[in-house]
Amino acid sequence: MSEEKFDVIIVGGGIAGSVTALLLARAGLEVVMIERGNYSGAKNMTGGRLYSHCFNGIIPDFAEIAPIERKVMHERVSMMTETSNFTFDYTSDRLAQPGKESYIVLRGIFDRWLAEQAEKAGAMAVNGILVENLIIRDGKVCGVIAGEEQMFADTVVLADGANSQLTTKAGLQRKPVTPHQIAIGAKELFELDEKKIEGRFNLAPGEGSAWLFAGWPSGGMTGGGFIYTNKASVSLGIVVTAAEFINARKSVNELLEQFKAHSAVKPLIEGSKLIEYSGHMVAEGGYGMLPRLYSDGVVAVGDAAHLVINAGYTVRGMDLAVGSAAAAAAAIISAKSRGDFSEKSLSMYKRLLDDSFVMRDMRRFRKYPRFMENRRIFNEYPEMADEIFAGVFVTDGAPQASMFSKIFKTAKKNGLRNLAKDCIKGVSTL
Amino acid sequence: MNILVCCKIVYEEQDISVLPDRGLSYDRAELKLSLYDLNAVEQAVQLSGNIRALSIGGKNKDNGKIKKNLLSRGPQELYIVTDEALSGADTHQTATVLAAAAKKIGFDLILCGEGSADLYAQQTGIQLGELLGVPVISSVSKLTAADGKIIAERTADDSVDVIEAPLPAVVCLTSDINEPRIPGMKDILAAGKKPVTEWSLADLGIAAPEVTVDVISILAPVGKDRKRIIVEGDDKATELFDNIKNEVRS
Amino acid sequence: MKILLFSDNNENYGELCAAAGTLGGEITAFIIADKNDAGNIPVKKAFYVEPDASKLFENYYASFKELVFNEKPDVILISATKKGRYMGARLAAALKTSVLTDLSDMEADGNGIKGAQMYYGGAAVRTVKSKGMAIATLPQGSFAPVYGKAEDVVNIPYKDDGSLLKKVETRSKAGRTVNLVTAKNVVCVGRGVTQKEDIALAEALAKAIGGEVGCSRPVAEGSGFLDTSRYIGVSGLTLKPDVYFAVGISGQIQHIIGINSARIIIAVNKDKNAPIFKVCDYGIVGDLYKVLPILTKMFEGN
Repeated sequence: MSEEKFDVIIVGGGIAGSVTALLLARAGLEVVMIERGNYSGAKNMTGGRLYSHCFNGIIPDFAEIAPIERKVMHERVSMMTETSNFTFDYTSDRLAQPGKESYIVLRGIFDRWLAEQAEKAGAMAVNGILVENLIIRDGKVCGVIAGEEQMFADTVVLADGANSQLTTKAGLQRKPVTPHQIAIGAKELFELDEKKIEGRFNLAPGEGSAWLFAGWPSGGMTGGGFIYTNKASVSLGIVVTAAEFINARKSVNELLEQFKAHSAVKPLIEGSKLIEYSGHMVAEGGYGMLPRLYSDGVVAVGDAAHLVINAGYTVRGMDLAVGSAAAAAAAIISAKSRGDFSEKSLSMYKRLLDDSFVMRDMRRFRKYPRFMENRRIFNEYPEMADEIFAGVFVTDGAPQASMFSKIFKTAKKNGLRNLAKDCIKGVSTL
Repeated sequence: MNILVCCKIVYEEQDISVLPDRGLSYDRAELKLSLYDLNAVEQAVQLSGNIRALSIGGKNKDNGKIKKNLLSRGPQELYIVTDEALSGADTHQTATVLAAAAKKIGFDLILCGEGSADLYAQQTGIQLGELLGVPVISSVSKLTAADGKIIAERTADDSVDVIEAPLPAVVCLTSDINEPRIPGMKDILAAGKKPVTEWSLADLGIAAPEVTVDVISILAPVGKDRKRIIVEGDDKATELFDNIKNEVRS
Repeated sequence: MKILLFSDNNENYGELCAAAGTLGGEITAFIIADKNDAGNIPVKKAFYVEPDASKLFENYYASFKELVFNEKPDVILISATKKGRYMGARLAAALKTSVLTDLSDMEADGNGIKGAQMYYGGAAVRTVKSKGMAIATLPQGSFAPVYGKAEDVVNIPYKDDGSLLKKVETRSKAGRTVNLVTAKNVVCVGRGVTQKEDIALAEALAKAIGGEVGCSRPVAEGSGFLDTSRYIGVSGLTLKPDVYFAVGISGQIQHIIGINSARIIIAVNKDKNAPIFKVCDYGIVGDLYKVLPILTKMFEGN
């Protein structure tokens, strides 16, 4: 039997997989990327927005050549109840600084392009094949199994996403993932004229809006709603933590329908055409719930390594995927030069991660998952916002109390102690 | 045995959208290998021999992933003829170019699918045989080859004839003759290394063949206004029956 | 206009004559039959070749081709059967033209013809016109046949086609071939039907309403549930049923042949958001395994 051996086999052709492949191929290694979808991106989904700093040094002219939808110039965050919505909208030139911008992307288009860059650099890509298992000899991962076929490599990179089964088989994911560490995302894509999008979302041509909603969209459960503007379509969806969802009274479909029907959202997608519906899992455990990231002959990157930050007002997975891919590639290139692919040799991966924005930011946001479990953020506080602003803006001719006393009255109703506690906790989490 | 397999690259019909004027838009349509041609590729592999794939089309059909897909299914090499003039070619134009290419490549046996996913005319393969002046059989549901001869079972609407013919010959296969295999990792990887030869009409030494059919329009049909009287729930089956019993005349 | 007819099935000439009648002009026919049968088609001249059991259908091509080159008809109309398409294709290649396949709504256009074809399995309709000598294959069931006698019958000697195709043996086909095109009522099953045994539910309903069972390609392909003659979709069948039951068919792919031409469409699907409910006259959101037996029983009792 001829054993065709590669330097590296990458399982998964998403963002983490493609960037790892790209960097390894550039360094002259023989690398193959195996993607289960018919093309990279076929099985991926994002809201969503990519922070482009991660491509600095990897794809220098990223802003010019990447197939992005729009550059985010409006950051919007809302607190929504069934009948009200309070939004703040931040726009600034600072959002557009080179190397610091963020872009709205569609994965079917973006991932495919990224995989092509890897192939151009010399990586091989195999699509439509699901890697079902790993070949482990003497405790060392040395290849993959797909159907009846086996393929060997010095190192296997697990880039197979949030629902990776292989991290468990590789001994990296020791404990089963709990429903608290996973969120379910569902999204609909609405086709809408470019100019209409710009008019409704108050954007200059090419500009985009990133918008997150707390409260009503997730039915009061931990999670949120989101709207992102693409070039000629609008992405709209919700994310809900799986643990809460198990006991939910409404289905994902019902939550999406009521989000779309909200008076603050409906006019935005009026006259648009639904062209796509997708769902995906998000690994949200945070820093405290990370699996082991490497072992003999194997490393995990991106969503498979649970490198995702959901801090409510910001959701990051793609830039962390790229960062982890860069660290993994560097570690593997170094390991190759020594001809040593043991756990000890590959530990360089973790060290590089720790020194990079990936772990720095994972640590910084580590308190968020706990904080976000606070139901008040999704129930009481949006209602409080509604109360306060109704008190401020609704004018009915009756004697007017001072603004301070109106606010204080509402706050007191919700429990001043809780409010104070949450504020302090929120600030310390930030 | 030198086997030449003809494959058509078509649009994914599910991606085709209808414009307000009822015209068709292929803007979002992915390209793919016509399903029926996969049977031809599979049959070539089962007969075994020196297998080459041939495809012709307009420039828009030039697609690296498709070429790799085709090569991962068994052919040892691929020939592609692309030219602006071949965009939307009718069956005679297609057959003419295929014949020129087949003569240049050389063959003992040419295999074609039953029809193509777009028009399903079931014409091109047969026209090809006639133009090449070799025996041509269509609707073949079973095929074996040995000693410079083929034995084919031709399944017409009411009977099956077993036909013997000498090579070279052209055979058009039915879609139930075999189950096209799914390429594995190694097949896909090997595909990238197989030779692809690209020709223009000039390379074949022929001028663009004349158009033989006048296509006046291609429009989505006018939707008939339907009643849309719908009931919900298994228990409403009797209500449905009441609605339709007078409509159904046996 | 000079029109030449051909069918591999001698019963189909009545319909072809009716079709030719709509074009107007002199109608002749090529038929593989004996003198008597040749005399029974209502054409001006019936050119016949004596049938020979030792010959393959394909072997008669040369005789047909020679007749065409001698007679130089303006239009050749052929029944859209497998054998008919074969003849048409070879002739087209010899005449350097293309066949207008599965043509419907045919009409005369100068000395040629115009008509409509299904494109992408019915997602669109192509309107086409012939250039030069017109050859068209016509699906059955579009014209009411006319009957009569030929004014003249002419024997054509068999011409060896030199194609070297030899008949080894003939078998009749196993299983009943059905002609869905002529079926008045059709019960079509889609992916919602998961087991071969479940086809029986559709068959029972079809029997109760005096109809036939058809299926969408995914159901029949590879699983061998139903004979290929029952495929609906992408095969160019011009289906114009009176009543069309769409059972377990989502309707997502608009190429469900005949869905536009059916008089009444009845949908059975458990997904209330299935697109089929937008194009049906009557429908039920329910489990086909429960609904079909109930409907069958009620139709049987009716």
